[in-house]
This record gives sequence, C-alpha cells and structure tokens, in this order.
Amino acid sequence: MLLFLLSSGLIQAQEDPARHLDSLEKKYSGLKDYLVDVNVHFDVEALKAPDMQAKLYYKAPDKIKVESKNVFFFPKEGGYFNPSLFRKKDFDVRLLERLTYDGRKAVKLRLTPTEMNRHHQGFVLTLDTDRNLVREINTSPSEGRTLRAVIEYAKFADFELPVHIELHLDMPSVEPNGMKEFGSFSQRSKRITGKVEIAYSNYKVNSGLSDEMFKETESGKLK
Amino acid sequence: MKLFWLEIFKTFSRWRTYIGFGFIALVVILTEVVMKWSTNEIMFRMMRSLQKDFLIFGNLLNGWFVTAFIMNSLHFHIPFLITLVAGDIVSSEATSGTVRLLLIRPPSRSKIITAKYLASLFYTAAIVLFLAFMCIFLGLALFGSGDLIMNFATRFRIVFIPEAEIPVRMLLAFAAAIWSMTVVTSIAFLFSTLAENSIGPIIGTMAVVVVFFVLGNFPFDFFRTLNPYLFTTYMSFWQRFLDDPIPWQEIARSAVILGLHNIGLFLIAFVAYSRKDIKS
Amino acid sequence: MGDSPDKEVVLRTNGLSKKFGRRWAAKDLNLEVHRGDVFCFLGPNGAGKSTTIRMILTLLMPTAGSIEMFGMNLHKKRSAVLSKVCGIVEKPDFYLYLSAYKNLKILGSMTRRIEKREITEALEVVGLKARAFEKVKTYSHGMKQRLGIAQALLTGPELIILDEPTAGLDPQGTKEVRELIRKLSRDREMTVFLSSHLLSEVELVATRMAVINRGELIAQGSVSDLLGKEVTGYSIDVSPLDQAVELVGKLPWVEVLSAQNGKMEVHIEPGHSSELNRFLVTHHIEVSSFSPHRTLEDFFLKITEGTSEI
Repeated sequence: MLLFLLSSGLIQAQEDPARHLDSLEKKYSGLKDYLVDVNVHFDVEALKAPDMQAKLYYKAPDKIKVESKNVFFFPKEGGYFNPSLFRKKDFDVRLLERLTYDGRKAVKLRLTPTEMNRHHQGFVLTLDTDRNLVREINTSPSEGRTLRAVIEYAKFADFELPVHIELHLDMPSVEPNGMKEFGSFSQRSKRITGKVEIAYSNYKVNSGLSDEMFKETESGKLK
Repeated sequence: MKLFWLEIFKTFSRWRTYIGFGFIALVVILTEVVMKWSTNEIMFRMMRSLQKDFLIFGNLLNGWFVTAFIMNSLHFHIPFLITLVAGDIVSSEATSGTVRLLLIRPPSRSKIITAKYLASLFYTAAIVLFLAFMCIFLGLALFGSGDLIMNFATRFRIVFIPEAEIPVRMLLAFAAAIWSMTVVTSIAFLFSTLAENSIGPIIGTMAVVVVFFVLGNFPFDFFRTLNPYLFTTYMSFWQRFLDDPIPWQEIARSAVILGLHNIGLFLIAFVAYSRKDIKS
Repeated sequence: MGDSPDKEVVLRTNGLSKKFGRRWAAKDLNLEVHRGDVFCFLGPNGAGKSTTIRMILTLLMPTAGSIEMFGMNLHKKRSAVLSKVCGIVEKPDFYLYLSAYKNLKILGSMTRRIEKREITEALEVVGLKARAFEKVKTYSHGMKQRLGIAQALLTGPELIILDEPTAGLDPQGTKEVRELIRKLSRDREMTVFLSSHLLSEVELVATRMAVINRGELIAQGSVSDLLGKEVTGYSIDVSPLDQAVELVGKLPWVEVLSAQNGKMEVHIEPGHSSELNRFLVTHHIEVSSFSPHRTLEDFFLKITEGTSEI
C-alpha cells in the first residue's frame, strides 16, 4: 500500500505539465526564421472581406513582417506560428485533462501568465503529446473576447509547421459612432462571431532573414 | 430643350450659383489637408477596436476612404447649397419682375416650369459630381489608392471592398447620392413656385430637411415608427453600394420611394404654377 | 375715322371676367381691336385695366369668358397666338445680371430663333445700341422702358400690348414713346393696344379706345365717334366774323367763347349744333368749317362719373 502511494507520488512528480512546454520549445529550437505565403479567408458576420493574401516573414523569437499589395488583416493571436509564445518561464502551467485528439494522446494545459508577465494573455492549449504539437489554442476570456485556434500541420524542412489555422472568434463589436441610444429601441452591441481560416503555403525555412527587414515602427504596419 | 438650356444659361450666369462649388472646393481641400496631417490619429480612431484583435497592414487611409468619409457629411451641407439655386429658380423671377416677360412668351407655363425643374436637377447633379471629382482626385493625389474599409457602425459591420471594385461602386454611390439630393431639390423647387421671394423657400426647405432628419434620429419608440414615412430615412441609401453584398432590393426600394417623392412634389409645383395668377 | 366693320379683328374678348375673392375686377368685357388700330384702354385707378391686360397676356386666368386673337382661341392655341404678340406689363423688368443684348437674346429666342442682327436693330430703334453689352442693372428707368419696347419689337409681332408705357418717364421720354407708337402703327403696320392715364397723350395717338370703370366696359369705339357725342364746344370758321359774332350772340342757346382770325369758338347747348349751322347760312354768313370741339378728358371724366348715357 505504502509502495503504491510512494510510486504514485513519484509518477506525479514526473508529470510536471510544464515539461510539455519544454518539449515544444526544444522541438522548434532550430527554427530561426521562415517566410510563407498566407491566405486569409473571413467568415465573420460583422466583417465582410474578400480573401486576403500576403507574405509573412517570421524571425525567432518574436519578429514578424507582412508584405501585401493590398490591405491585409491578420489576427493578432493564433494567426501565425510562433513557437516562442509558449515559453515555460512566462507561464504557470496546470494540467487540466488528458484526452485523445484526432486519435492521438493529448493534454489540455492551462497557461496563466506569471506575475512578471501579467500583461500577457492566458491560454488553454491542447497539445498532441505524441508529436509535441499545439493542436488547439484557446485564449482565456479577457475583455469579453474569446478565441479558439485549431491548427493542422505538415512537414517542411524537418519542421512541422502549420498549413491551416481555423480561428473561431467571439468578441465585442466595433463601437458605433453617434448618439448613445436608450429606450426599448436601444440596440445591444452585436458581437463579432465567426471564423477566420488561414492557409499557409510555400514555406521557406531558415533562409537567413536579417534583422534589418523587420525594422518598421509598430504603426508602420498600417497607413 | 431650348428652354432647358436657357435656364441653364441664366442659372450659371449668376454668381450665387458658384457659391456652392466654391464652398465644396474649400471644404474638401481643408478636410483632406487636415486629414493628411492627422493620419495617425485618424487611423487610430478608425481602427481602434479592430486593432485589439487584428494586425492591419496596407494603405487604409487612401483617397477612396477620404471620399467616403466626406460623402458621409452629404446630408448636412449639400442640401443647403442645393436650396440656394433650386429655391430661387422660380421665385426670383417673381422678385425681379421678369416673370411678367417670361410667361407672356409662346412656350406654355408647363414647358417653362419643366425646364426650370430640369435645370434645378442639372445643378444638383453638377454639384454632387463636383464633390465627387474634388474628393476623388484630390484624395487619390494626397493619399493614394487602396482598398476601402467601410465601418457601418449602426449595423455593427465592417466591410472591406477591394480596390478593383471601388470605381464602379463609387460611381453608383454618387449616382445614388445625386438621386437622394434631388428630393431636396424638389422640395425647394415646390416652395419656390409657391413663394414670391427666395428666402422663404431656402429657409423652408432647410427646415424640412433638418426637422425630418432630427425626427428620424430621435431614439424614442414613437419617432422610430415614423421612420418609414420620412424621406430622410432613405437618403443615405447611396452607402449601400459600399456594402457587401450590395442589397439591391433595399437600394431599389429607397430609390423608388425617393423617386415617388420627386414625382409628387414636382406635380404639385406643376399644377400650382400652371394655375397661378401672376399679380406681381 | 370711324369704326370699319370690314377691318380684321385681331383681338376680341367675349364676356371676359375676373373675380378675386368676392370682388369682380373685370366683368363681362367685350373688346374688339382691329388691325392697324392704336387702341387705348382707359379707366381710373383700380378700374381693371391691368387685370384685363394680364388676362389677355395669360398672366391671369379668366374667371369667365374667352379671348380670341387672329381668329384663334387664346387658351386653345396659346403658342400660335402669342408668337404674334408681345407686350409689356407695368414696368419692364429684366435679368439685371445680364446685358441688354443677352436679355433680348433669351427673351427673343423663346419665340423663335433670333439673329444677332435683329437684336442690334431692335436696340438701335430704341437708342440703346451703344450700351448693348452693359448689364441692365446699370440702366436708368427710362432706358429699361426703352429696352422693354425693344424686346416687344424684337420678334416682329403683329400685336403689341403696352400697359402704361409712359409711366415714370420724363416729358422727353414720354414724347419718344408716343412717337414710337405712331411709327409702329404707321410704318410697321402693327396693331397697338395700350393703357394709359395720360389722356392728352392718348388723344394724340389713339384711333380707337375703350373705357372701363369698376371692372365694366362703359364705352368703346373710335375716338372721333366717342368724342362726337355730346360735344358742346365747336370751332367755326366764318366770314364775315364780326357779323357772325353779332348774330350768334343773340341766340339764347349759344355762347361765344372767343372770336379771332376768322375763327369763332362757341359753346352750344346739346342738340342745337345743326341749327346753328343753318342759322348762319340763312343769314348769309359763309361757314367754311364747323368742327366739334371736345377733349378726351372731358369725355373721360363725364362717363366715369356715370353722368352720361352712351
């Protein structure tokens, strides 16, 4: 009985949920940069837009650049693959459950930003433990917005990189201009709900992107 | 047709006619120059809520956006400029006494009044087209081209229109804007046929437009029920050409309702003027 | 000059009436204007002259009656009729922001295509050619009046209607308008229909006239016919003058007003004019001329006061 209890404790000690993040980080430690063609399809009621195309450049740990001939909207969270987003040191990790996802073993982890990173978003990750792949990202409800990203991967130059991300949005609407409304006709703000599908193709991995090309001001992303 | 061109000649021989064009040029130039200076502030305000969730790239503050932005103020200043001419075109003949020379000519009163009405409509179209020309050409020169983001705030929608589609949509939007402004023309014209001076029609028309507009925007149940009966409710139907998908049925309905207003108002003016005793 | 029933009637009104509210401004007017007439329309202020002219020129809709011009009903064939008519109602007003030339161009071309030459000629007739391209707002009242006549002449109408054409003009201007009216009738064979308060002027130009009072027609006919009735003053050329004066002075129904230069001015009681003529002849006085002598003003005042039966 005592042996069973002791061994359980030992097993539990070995099941530190944060180690999954370690594995993830290790898996992509060799990914220095990539560039990829992006196609974004919006299926959001409050946002009518045609498919948008752009070229996305990423350099570890957190640089991105987007090149597009036309206006391009890109979801801030869950829209592009950044393995540095889920570093163990930035979060307190708690195992929520073990499950099977697409026929593979997976865990659901709650990532809560540490004190030092209070400004960061919290997540619930569904991690495929067999392949060390983040299959789903759910943002913690914040300011009334929730987001769920479902990710599919394919192999490019030894790295499993996303080929399709399906983002499910539920967020407050844009603020209307004009008079505040009241009375029985005052309209409650509609929420932005829907789906954004992002397809990635033509990855070029570790092509040696320089820091210079990422030197743009934050607001330079939009004119 | 000859009468129509004579009315056009008379209208455009008066300096008062050019007040509208000068005013529009001034407003557009000022607005666009200020917008050019305040690009960052405008974009921040415009995209504030979207920027929480999206990274936005590209030339959003482009000539098309500026054009749409200025067009949104259409229902304020354009009606006034229209009434300066439409409210004057008949009554000024009475004020100046030229009606006594005009109506003893062989052309019938019905032809004369129709020619004057068409001249008023021509002026309306000219002034809106001038607005379009100023907005688009100056806007494209200052801000360049790009896709158009339309924020239909009252419907809680943002619509994104690709650059390639914009010219045709803008053309249709301006055509619709002209059509909606013709109702203001018709009201001013009717008042002008009934009055002996121009001040009454100008003030009267603006009063009608403002009152209807205000009534239509009161956030009370009672006034909401009046909305379908107010012509101002339909006057912004030009915006629907910048929506996706374009609600053709709604546009057609608005256009027909405004058209019926025009027909009715003109018919009243027509009959009143045909039977009017010229005592002045 | 008497009425000529064979002359073409260019303007005829049948029972023409106009009511404003309860007041009849014109009632049952039956006017007849013959071709070539200088037809004067007389009446006190508020009698209905302007109302009548406005109805004829379609500025007012008649309450009853009809108007025919050139044998055509005005309201059925308005365009055809008015293409032969032109007029001025009250003072002529123009587009002040345009030049005289442009005003005439606009007004004239509403009737037919107008050549530049025609505009220039019309302005020359009224003495405004030198200022053709100045804006009308720089014109004096007299110049505008002349311009009004120019626009009336421009399309070569057959009937010209003038409402108070000399109103506000100085004596020189009045004379010019009077001469112009005579010229139009004589040289251009135009029919002129005019209203005026200046009876002395009317007397000098009118061939036929009508008198209206309180909206009703009270007299119409040639000037000489109308003035011939109830004439009491006469101018008689006699010889020997002294003898004639002595003889006539004895008659109780005659008053000698003046006698000089072979001409005797007398006042005869109504109905005795032919008797006087016979008296002089039988007393061997040579009578070379026996002319009735009555002013339009006398006639006008008398009939509008309702003291005469016509």
